[in-house]
Amino acid sequence: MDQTTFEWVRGRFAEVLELDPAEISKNSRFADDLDADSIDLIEVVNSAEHSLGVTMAEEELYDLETVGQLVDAIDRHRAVGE
Amino acid sequence: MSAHAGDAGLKAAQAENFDNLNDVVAGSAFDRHLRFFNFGYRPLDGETPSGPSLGGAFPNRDSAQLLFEVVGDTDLTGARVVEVGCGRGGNLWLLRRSYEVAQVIGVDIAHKSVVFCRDRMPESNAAFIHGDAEQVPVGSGIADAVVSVETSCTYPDIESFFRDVARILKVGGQFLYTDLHDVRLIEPFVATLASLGLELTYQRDITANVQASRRDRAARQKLAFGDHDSADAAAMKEFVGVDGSELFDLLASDLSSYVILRFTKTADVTPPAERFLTEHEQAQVRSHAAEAVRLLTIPSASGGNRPAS
Ligand SMILES: C[S@@+](CC[C@H](N)C(=O)[O-])C[C@H]1O[C@@H](n2cnc3c(N)ncnc32)[C@H](O)[C@@H]1O
Repeated sequence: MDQTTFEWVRGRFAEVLELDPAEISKNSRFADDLDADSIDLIEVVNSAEHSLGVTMAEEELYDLETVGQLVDAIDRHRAVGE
Repeated sequence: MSAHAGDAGLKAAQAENFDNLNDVVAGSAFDRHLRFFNFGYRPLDGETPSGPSLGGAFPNRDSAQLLFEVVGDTDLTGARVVEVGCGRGGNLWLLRRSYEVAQVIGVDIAHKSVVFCRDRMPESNAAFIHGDAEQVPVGSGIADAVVSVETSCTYPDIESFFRDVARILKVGGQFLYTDLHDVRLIEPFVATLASLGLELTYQRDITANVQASRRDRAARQKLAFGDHDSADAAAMKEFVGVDGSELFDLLASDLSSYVILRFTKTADVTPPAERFLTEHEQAQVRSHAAEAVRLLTIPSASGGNRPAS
């Protein structure tokens, strides 16, 4: 997992959810640990698309459960240089 | 005589309304994720939900759960499924994703929803048709299942829809049906469907589950429809059915009940010219439909209905 991607995702989630970044780890589960819903997740993904220059298919989001899984999904796109 | 002078106008208003809604959503960051237009279903404490389990941040989770409850233990493997009033195609998309259906056909009166569906589901075993539920533009005896989720309550001539469901189903096919109904009309509807060869196999009142979904989700979902000025915000509050809206009150009242009904088609029946629903029941259907359309109407995204600012 790319540390800079993780830092970026953590920062965005902290903003969207109004949390301290320290409360967010790779293993944090969106719903159970962060009380985040799909609208929060989509907000973070949309800004990742803008800021990191990746494009994610909707279907990719639907089985994500943790912050780490989202970071990995973004990394897969960054690796292929989108 | 079944068709009524005002019916075409009511249906046109409903089509325009859902076209407007597509425009509103198209301007939001959530466009591509928003595949459902319904109130959703929230399992209550201690209840075991039907269907596959979904992640906590699964988009439109409550709407997905509504479909799973409607399907229940119906086996749809290899089925050709027709959804009447398919909206943005979420139910058919889920059936393809989570059940092994062979083919899906969606019909909707709002052209922009049909265009969205075609764009999102270009696969060769998915088809979307612009058409009216009271005269479904598909052949007779072609469907293993007909799905109808939160759409029939605005049909002014619902018996025509029921007749068409019976017509397009194969013998042995399933009608998987849910909506918010005037409680006085549920029995006459079930009786009408029985007369058309559809035997009731399952009935459950899910009003409390739908209310729980609204209570929890409506305020958040409003965000997904983008930013609005205050006039639109009031209409949108009504549309998504937040606590305190007229729609929410309707759900809470004894006059209406949100029910899941499932039927199996046991025989091909040639329906008589004479209607099964009485004149009085048809009048109740029309007034319920007109009221529902009124509550659901949102201003157009282009500002057509907005007060000048
Ligand atoms: C509340 S939405 C439900 C959409 C979809 N079933 C879902 O669960 O997301 C109602 C849908 O019914 C459609 N509709 C209303 N009247 C119709 C009619 N007479 N024929 C076909 N579709 C109709 C609307 O355009 C809208 O897409």
